[in-house]
Amino acid sequence: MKKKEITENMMGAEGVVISASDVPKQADSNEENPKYESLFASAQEIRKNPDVLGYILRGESKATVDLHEPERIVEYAVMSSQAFESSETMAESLGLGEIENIVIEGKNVKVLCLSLGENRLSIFAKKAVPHEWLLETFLSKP
Amino acid sequence: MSNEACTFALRNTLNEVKTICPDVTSTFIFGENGQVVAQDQTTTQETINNAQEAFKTLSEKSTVIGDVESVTFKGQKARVNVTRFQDFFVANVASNEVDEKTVTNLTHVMIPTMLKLIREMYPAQNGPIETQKPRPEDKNYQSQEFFSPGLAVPEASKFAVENIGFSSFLKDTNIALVDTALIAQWNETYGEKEVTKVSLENPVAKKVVVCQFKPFKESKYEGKGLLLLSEKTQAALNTKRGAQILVKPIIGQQKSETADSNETDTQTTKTITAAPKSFSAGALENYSSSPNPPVNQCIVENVGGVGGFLGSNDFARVDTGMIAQWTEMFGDKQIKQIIIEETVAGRKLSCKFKPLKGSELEGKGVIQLPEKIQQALQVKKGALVVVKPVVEE
Repeated sequence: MKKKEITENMMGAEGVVISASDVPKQADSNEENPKYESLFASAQEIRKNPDVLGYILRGESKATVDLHEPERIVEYAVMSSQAFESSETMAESLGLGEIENIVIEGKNVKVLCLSLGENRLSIFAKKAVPHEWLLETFLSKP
Repeated sequence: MSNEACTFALRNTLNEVKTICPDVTSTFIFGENGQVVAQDQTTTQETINNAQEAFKTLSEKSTVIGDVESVTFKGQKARVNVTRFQDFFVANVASNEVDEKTVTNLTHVMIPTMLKLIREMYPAQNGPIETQKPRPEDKNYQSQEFFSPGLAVPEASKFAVENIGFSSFLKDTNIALVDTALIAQWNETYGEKEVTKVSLENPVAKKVVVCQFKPFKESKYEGKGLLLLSEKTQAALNTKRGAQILVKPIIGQQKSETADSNETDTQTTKTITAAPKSFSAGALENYSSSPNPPVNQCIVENVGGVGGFLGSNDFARVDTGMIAQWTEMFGDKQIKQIIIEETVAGRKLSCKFKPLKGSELEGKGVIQLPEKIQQALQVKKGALVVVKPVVEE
């Protein structure tokens, strides 16, 4: 499974420009965003579960994508981006306050989107995976 | 019942959700086309439009995970959940302190059941329920506009004519065969008053026939908006198979208001009460359902563990909360069996039941069915079924 580091803002619009290059698993800017690295480590760990289909982690200056369908990376990225965008509208219209997480259930797949500071994480998993477990994994990290 | 009345019923259900669970601040239902079907008293149209637009856009961009079935946005103060039920989306906003179990039971069981009942009772109403028109005087919206509760004014329902077929040779050809759901609706609407006959009106030819009625025997006709008439009755109405006919109940001695000189009272010797007795079949005949047994919609789950393999093949496992609800409702009356109906083709069976195994499934609207029952109903894990207690007299 290839992991890609994306240096452009890949989740901005439908016409996404992804300048991706294969990079080593170890990220190179640990000091810059320790939270990002912590989330990255958790995402990698959770990805070992065969029911977890992949994740998109976006930090301030970079993003990591690891998906079971790498050829559909744009679709997943657009969806993830839209989820955060829609959450802002929902929060504003319905007075939800700052959005903590989003759970989307499709026919076979569920998505957990988390907004943690400057970092945004979307985890794609089979429907059977309880999202509470995913949440706990990421929220329990310091 | 008109579309508006259906909307009214849904609106009342939504208001009830808020009454039962005050932490729920807003509930509304919208259709696949994005139009609002019903909303509670306090939610504004603008709020709904914004939320719905956000959901729609997300849904459109989520094709990669298949059709979106449910979305929950959890904020610091509150959360909103939008869940799909067939052609509808039910949205509810609640504070984070809300008892999720209660909200799930209300929104995932009560509202879908209401939607299903409306569809069953008014099968002639094809397609989604007519969308609600925004009302400036929203908060003062009163029921009198459509009907007054307690004043049971018979309403006509539109049905398509179907031939009785071979059975007409064997039975009284003057009897109209109607949907059991319609009879159940009349039973509910008119209470103890007996619906003795039906008035059938051909709105095109302006012909009216008053005759007695019976429920369908064949479940294949149920929920399809059909009315089975013999050739003789069809001729009297100047109609034929596929044409639309208005069906109106006649209560007690009431005469049909619309009957004109063409009226043909096709007398029969047997009077059918409004109670849908023939609803039960086979094993169900030993029991008579209570006048208003609660209907719960549940998600099928496999019987896990050893129970799935040993001995309990004839028992469905039902949520203890549901059993407690029945016990509370029916007191000393015994409930030994339940009727399970799958929601697609309407297959149903009765079986014994036990409390659900595994507390992790409690309150989640789940019913555990052994393989044998799943096969009989032709359902699998994850399917929706309707569960109703059989109350012994």
